[in-house]
Amino acid sequence: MHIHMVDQGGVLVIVPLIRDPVEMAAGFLAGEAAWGKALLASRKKEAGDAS
Amino acid sequence: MPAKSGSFVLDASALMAYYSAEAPGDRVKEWLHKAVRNPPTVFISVVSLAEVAMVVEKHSGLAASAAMLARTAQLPIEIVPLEYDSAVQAAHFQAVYSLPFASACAAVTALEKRRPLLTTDQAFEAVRQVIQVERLD
Repeated sequence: MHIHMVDQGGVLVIVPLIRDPVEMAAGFLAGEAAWGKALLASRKKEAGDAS
Repeated sequence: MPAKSGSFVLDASALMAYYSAEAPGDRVKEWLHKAVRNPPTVFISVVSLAEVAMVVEKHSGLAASAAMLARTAQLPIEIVPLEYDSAVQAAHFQAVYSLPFASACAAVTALEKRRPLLTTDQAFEAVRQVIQVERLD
């Protein structure tokens, strides 16, 4: 098995290299949060803090 | 239309839609499939990617954020670094159009790559006179 490793802030994550990464990654965060809303809320907060 | 040209810049919101399987994410996936056959045609600012990483870490932890970055590294997306001139241009966009800095970086990347910016964020309407904006609704 081929793998891909990412070191982010001292956390090593090992992800297997997959045949169809576009298909396999789609929706992999689904259900964990309302991501679109979370992102836009973060942006609005930053815009509000800056003004 | 990016669906025709197949070449565009992703805003963080478009990448987030793809990872969260929210409605417009299917369109992003379709264009990424096309990019596999004709790379490099999809771009994202490193600042936009960092923005996604921040939001994911905040809600699901560091490991989830790192997993997202690892998956992104396998996608047919070119990550565009932020150079000095681009950062200054982004600061200008932030000041003039009242965009958050990460959004301003996405807009600058679209301007420099001369590609449409794919986004779900209506705040980019403010920069339509400067860049081509493709809203994913």
